[in-house]
Amino acid sequence: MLNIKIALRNIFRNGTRTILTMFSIIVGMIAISIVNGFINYSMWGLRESMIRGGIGHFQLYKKGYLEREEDIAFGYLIDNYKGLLKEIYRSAEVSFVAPEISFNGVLSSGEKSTIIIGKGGLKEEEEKLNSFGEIVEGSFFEDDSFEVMIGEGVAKKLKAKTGDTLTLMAPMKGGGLNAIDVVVKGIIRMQIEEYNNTILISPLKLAQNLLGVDGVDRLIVMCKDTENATKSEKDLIEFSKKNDLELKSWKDLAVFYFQVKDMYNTMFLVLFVIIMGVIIFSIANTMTMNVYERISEIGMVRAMGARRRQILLQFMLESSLIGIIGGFIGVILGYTVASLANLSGGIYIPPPPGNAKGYYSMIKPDFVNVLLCYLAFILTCIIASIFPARKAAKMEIVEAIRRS
Amino acid sequence: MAIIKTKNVEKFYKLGKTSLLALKNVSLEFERGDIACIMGPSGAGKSTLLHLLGCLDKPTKGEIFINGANVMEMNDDELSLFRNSYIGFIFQSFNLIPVLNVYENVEYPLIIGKKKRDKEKILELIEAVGLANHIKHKPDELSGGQRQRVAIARALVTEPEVVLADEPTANLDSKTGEMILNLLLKLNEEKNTTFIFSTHSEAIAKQSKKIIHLLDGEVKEIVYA
Repeated sequence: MLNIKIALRNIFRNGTRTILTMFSIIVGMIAISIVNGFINYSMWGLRESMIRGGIGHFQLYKKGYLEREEDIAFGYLIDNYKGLLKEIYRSAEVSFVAPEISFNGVLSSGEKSTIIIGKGGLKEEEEKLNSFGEIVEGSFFEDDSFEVMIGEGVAKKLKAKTGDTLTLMAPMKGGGLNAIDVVVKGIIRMQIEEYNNTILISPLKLAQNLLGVDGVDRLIVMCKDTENATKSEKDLIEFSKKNDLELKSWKDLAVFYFQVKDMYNTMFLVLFVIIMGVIIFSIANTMTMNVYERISEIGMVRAMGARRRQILLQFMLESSLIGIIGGFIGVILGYTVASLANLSGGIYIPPPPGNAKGYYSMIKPDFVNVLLCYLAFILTCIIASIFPARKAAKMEIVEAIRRS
Repeated sequence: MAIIKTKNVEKFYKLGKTSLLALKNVSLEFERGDIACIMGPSGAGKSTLLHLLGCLDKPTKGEIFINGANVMEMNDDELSLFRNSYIGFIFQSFNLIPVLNVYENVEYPLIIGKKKRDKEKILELIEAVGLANHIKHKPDELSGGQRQRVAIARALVTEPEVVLADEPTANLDSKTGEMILNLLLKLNEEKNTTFIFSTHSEAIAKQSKKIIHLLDGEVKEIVYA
């Protein structure tokens, strides 16, 4: 205990220098907490926007669907999907299941036409599944109607607004082209720009009639929350095997999410390494100065019987205390800054590449990550002190005492 | 049996490509309770001899026995332990730890040696050196004489067999120097501790039972009181 007391007094012997050194650690820890909080929130947002923007937590397909030839349209449909839904709902983690059929087609206003990527689904499920999309005009379609939702980009291309009647054309199961008049019930703005320019969501029955099919090509399973979604994965794998289906998790489908995550992780790592570098130089400099200023003291302590190891540990303890105190203040300040930013409504982030709109980012640092960074900071302080501490420990006693 | 014995001790210092002879063929014996004084002009080798006797350095040649143990055979850790248990040091410039108060400075050698920290004993020593009212004072709040008294209490706290004092009164005025010397003589009388001084001070020499005169690294004369 006295060693800690001595170390604390020693580090504040030259208060200004120690505070400046701690300042670099404090600023580093604040930066780490905030960047981590920003990335954490952004990644959560991206993940949920992809999951709740249409891909769900899991997707079930007829076996062979994913490897099918492009020209075999609607050859792999799940016909008995209504019966299967009941079984899937048995899993405690499942929130809802959205049966969907997807198709490509052309939407025409008479004057202008555009290619769409359409999907037919049930109103209630589609509303929940696309909860990260924003209805900018109108409302969601009714199930037994000829109403559709179109992306904001699609509406812009066709100069369409709610209430307009458009013609939807798509290839049928048996070949040939079918066309149907649809009414724009709502205009939706999806998070991803590309979806916005191509998306059309129609009632399931309308899509089935248009395509001349009875089934769906996927069942989208949405769990209560993403963190616990994996709990139902095992059940769904067994279920899919039993029913001749294939299962894909959101992790297989959200490739973009993992690409962005990798990019953010790399950026975070670079920032972390830079901060670590600053801390190493700062601590090494402070500890070297400490050693030089205390040479005669080191000599005396060695004369009194301190072993080299004790000197080494004393300096490393002092350095680690700078890291512990500085890092702790940094974590507290980092969380304070994050809370203040969140209370003020977050930080506005302009639309990232490929995204339709900007957003207000909250700063939600991940406690485990911040804790690990804090421990890494302390470890870095200890490592940075090894060289000067070894120098102190290896000093010849007689030489050191003569410096007094 | 002599508490300290040196046999044909020599010490060379390397200065670039040449080497400097600091001590030559020094053979000495010190008995328990001795008050010995090493005298000589600057550069005679007084401090070098004191450092060797205190196991702070090793001789280039020869042997040193303390309490029967050959210090030449000890490694660095063993020497550290040995110093902590058997030897106390008092230096000209006091060398107190500035961040510790009087009590903690005296206590520190016990912490280093992981020894029992007897509060009563520490306070007794502080009282013996006349600093009972300054326990909480830091070194920079004390006068030179008071600092040297803290250094004396610190040197004695581990109850060493030998106390080595390098010019202990050199930085003090004559009155304070005399007071410090009297204190050391009193402690020698009470505890039978061996005191070896390296000094120019005639006052210290007068009180010594044995005076060793060094010149150019050699023992020129030993005078017994």
